[in-house]
Amino acid sequence: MGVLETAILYATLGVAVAIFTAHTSTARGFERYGTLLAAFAFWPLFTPSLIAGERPRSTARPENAVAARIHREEERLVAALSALEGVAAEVLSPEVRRVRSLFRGLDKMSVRLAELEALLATPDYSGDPPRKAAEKLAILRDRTKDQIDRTLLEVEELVSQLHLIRFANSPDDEIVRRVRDLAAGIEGLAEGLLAE
Amino acid sequence: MIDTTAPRPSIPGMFDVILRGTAELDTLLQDDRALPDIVQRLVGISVLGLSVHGAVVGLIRDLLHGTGPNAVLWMPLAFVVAFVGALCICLPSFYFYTQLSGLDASFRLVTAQALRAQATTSVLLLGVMPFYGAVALAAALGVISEESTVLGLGMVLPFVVGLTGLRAAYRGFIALAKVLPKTHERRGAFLRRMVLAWGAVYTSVAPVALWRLVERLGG
Repeated sequence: MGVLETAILYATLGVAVAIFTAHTSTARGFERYGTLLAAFAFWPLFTPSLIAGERPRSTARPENAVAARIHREEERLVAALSALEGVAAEVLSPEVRRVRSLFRGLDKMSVRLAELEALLATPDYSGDPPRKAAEKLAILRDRTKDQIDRTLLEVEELVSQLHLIRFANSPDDEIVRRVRDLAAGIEGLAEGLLAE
Repeated sequence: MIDTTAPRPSIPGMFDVILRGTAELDTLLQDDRALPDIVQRLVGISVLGLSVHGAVVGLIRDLLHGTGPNAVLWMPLAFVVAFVGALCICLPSFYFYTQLSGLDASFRLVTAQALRAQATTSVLLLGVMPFYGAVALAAALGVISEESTVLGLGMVLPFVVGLTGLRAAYRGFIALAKVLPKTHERRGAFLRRMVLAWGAVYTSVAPVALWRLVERLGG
């Protein structure tokens, strides 16, 4: 196959990927045209994103009862944030990122909790009389569980406040101010998690 | 109403994320739903930085040769096609090395990590440009007599700055290694070796591509 044939094949695939990208891309205006041009010229970079499905959550996140609750609360909080009308996307997007970041921290804690529980269930630590290390591990497990529960309770409180803001018919700038206050609360929760 | 599933910084926002928000970019790359948008923005930044650098090198070539606007038109194309094209060629190798290292990263995550390195390089190239401009000015004033030195520096600069891009990819993999499933355990500095393998294969392809393109387009 010569240079011309290769170029034609490359361009054909480029057109196909650009069309597919046009259907899936959320970019607007000039950025959209740039994206489509890039998809045409450098289609090998875009193809993996277009053809690969989303990975099952279980590979990245544990799916036990605690993890499922964390995931549920995350979706509730993000949904409550996104339901606010009159707030610009530029204001909300960083808050959504903060929420996601907070919940990645909670994910890690739930993994730790599951590992501690699995360890405490092994014969080494579940014998009678209990070993001193087992008692310390049990204290760690209880503390981790408490932290997760406390954080999720505060998240539930945040969700309620967001619903209040939504239905209180406040002016737009008032909504933005209160969302920013709540965002500071989310940041505080994230910092608290990191500090623990 | 915003899209809650994919937090997407705009291209100017991505500059900030690339330069300062390493942890934020790590978080974004761990979200499968956000990856297609992040990839698009990283490609945009890569193309922008390389185009501007190529245009400056082309402009300096035209000025030093005393010809009309010629290289300033094709040099950006040569830089973009050589560097981003080399990335396209190297992607299967990158994926292969990542799997060999034991990290179960998807192909699109590998693509995003490769583009993160390239985008970091592109952003820093924009920052280095004033210094390169000063060198070019020195050549125009006769302080540096060899014009090939100045043009050679312009060609080599992306590879030197690229080391910081490689470092960004390495740091990204350190963060990803904590959350990605492992297919098999590796001992020692396996992440460092993997990223060095990435750099080695890329450095063997990109210079050849750039050389051949400059030769072809520049006559």
